[in-house]
Amino acid sequence: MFVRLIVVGFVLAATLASLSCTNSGSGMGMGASAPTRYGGGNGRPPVFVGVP
Amino acid sequence: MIRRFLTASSICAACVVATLALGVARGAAAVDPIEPGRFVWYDLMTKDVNASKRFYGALFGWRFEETKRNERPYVIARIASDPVAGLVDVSSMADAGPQWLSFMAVTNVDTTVGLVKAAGGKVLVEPREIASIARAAIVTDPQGAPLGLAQLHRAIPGVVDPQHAVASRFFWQEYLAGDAPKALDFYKRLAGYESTIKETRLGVEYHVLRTATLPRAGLFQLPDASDVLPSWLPYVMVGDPSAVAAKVPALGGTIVLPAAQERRNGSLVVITDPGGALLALQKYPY
Repeated sequence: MFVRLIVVGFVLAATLASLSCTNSGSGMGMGASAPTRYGGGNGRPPVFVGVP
Repeated sequence: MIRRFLTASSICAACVVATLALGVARGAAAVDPIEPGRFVWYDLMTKDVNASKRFYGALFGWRFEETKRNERPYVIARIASDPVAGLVDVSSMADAGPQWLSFMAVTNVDTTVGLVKAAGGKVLVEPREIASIARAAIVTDPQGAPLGLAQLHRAIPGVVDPQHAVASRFFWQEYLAGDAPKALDFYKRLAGYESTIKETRLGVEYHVLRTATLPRAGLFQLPDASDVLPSWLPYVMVGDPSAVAAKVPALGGTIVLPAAQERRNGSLVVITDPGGALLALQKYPY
């Protein structure tokens, strides 16, 4: 009986953890009228140095 | 009885593994997950959501969930159960160009927006509540670079820091500056960053912006007449940049900067997606 209770407890905890992971409670979803910042290769490319 | 024991043992073993995994995750997230200056979210502003889903799904294995934010359609990209990015349809917005928008955590978004305005930046979207997740705004900094600001009400799961980079997830960002000294001054005031020059090569200084705990971003000077205007460039970690980049043209994107040995040991590729949004892919560490 005790083992069964522990097992049920574990399964319940795992289910709750799984539910909390799969909610869609993330992300901002705000669009903005911001013009693109890339000119499509008509100028000089950035010089990528350093880290990472 | 034996079967019961085996079942219980299996579940307990699974729980031990899960507990260990959680322990590792907690260890990895010892830093405050909503620390000001940390980049905590990435939204793609796209004029063709379906094309973007096809591209990023094939490139990174992301799967997508249709949802809503403040009554507007919004797509969440996931790896397994972790959210990694959002896709926003901006086809109805005048002047909106396809691009990735990085969100920086701030302590108080209204105060930060005030600071941006005082420094000569503009507000594209005034601070507003986003579900129960954050109070957020979108601004352009004094050099015109768009930036999201998020005063998070709670941590967003799945956000990784550079030292725990995971394949197909964002892990770094760089500010491509029109005026590096002015940008350094601005972002130090905005986010409380400290900076160090990590490397100087070809006459370009690479500045690392740090919060009290970790490096959060890089910053360097764009050349004159660059084909990129001042902007934040987000990085996705990939295991084999050249192999991933090879898929890009067939998927409708372009390779802007191919891998080259002299550039970070061949670990960096810069691409655009089918809409033209710029994105860096890097193997890390390299």
